[in-house]
Amino acid sequence: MKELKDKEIMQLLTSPDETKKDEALRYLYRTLFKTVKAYILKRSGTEQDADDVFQDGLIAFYMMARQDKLPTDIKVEAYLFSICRNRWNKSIGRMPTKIELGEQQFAIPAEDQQLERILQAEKQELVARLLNQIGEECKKVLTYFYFDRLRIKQIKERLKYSSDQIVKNKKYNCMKKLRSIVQPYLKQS
Amino acid sequence: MEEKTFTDIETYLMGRMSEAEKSAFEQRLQVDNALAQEVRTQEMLIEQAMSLGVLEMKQKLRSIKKEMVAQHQRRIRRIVGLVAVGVALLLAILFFINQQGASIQVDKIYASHYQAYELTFGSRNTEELPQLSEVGKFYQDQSYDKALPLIETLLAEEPNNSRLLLAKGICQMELNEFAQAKLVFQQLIDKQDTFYFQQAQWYTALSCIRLDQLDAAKPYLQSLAQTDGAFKQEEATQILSELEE
Repeated sequence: MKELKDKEIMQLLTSPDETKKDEALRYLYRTLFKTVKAYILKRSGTEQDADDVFQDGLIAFYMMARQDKLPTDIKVEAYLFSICRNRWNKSIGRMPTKIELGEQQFAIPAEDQQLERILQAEKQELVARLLNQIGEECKKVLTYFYFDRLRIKQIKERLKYSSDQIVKNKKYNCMKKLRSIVQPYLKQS
Repeated sequence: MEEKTFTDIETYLMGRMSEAEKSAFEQRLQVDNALAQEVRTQEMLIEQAMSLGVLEMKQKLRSIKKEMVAQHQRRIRRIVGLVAVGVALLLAILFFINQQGASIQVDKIYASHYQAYELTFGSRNTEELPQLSEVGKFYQDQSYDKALPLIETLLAEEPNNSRLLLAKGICQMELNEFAQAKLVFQQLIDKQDTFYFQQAQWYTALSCIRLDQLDAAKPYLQSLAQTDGAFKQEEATQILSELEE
């Protein structure tokens, strides 16, 4: 496996090209999962815990990268590891601390509450219902725009729409559809 | 809700407003409760939309993990396969070396102890059996292939002739027909032949050694080794000790 530099990883990860994004995810999984797993297993976690923590950590890292929430010139693997370590320590009730990695010190990134809510929402029944009701096309448009943070033009190209306006209309209508599905749950809560 | 308001809220929530636009929008929020409520609702909707992406990426990461595990298993299977082939090859080589070693040892014993038994023919009864002198000539000249058919012809007439039986066995040994030679010597052993009983035992033992039937050779050698003054007693003792090594 070819070794990638931090800059290359970030370029692949934030690329509008799905294949490149997948390449970065695969690379990070292959290079870092073993380390995270070893850390978690040493602290009474299980293989399943390691999978969950690493996958959530990688998704959090991806969202932060897409939303420009990451500091510039980060050491990708060290930063991602610190996210995973932070998540595991939090889940077993240990307070986050400053950690040392190599010669550099990294403050554990303060993952914002919104990001945490989104990660947790995935485990809720509501999302499963949304998936069933919203339709494949809406799912794609909304995911590309809000989760992957692609620009309207990029979505147009990826989904082969004929104009930007069609994408905007599609997105607006899909959000209306989403609102109608979610509305009953809002009233309940 | 108007599409313009929707777009404004979205731009604000996604952090895509300029500082001036953001400041103006936040001032509006302070006085417009309906707008503030709409911002909260839309924020929650965007979170739900994002969670669709999370779910999709989770599925993608699970399949990456599966792929990694499968690759790892394939690698392990390949390594185990290679190791198994290596071990099998090594065992085959060791077996071959061992067989070669054993075969070399057997050949050495045979070569250092076998000698054709000296037999003379034709000195008596030449009138009755004129072909005997011819057998004797071939036997002396070590032309065993020529001697053997003549011996068989004579044995047809005189099947219990011990000297001819022994000569037949020796000729067969010389012609590498050890299994057949054993059967001929067995006839001499079975009939407890007065003249050639021990010789028959000795050549049976050597035939067995040459056929790699070492366990079958041992009783004959032991019999000779334990009989005082027996034919080849010392050599039989020596071969037994060589076989024990």
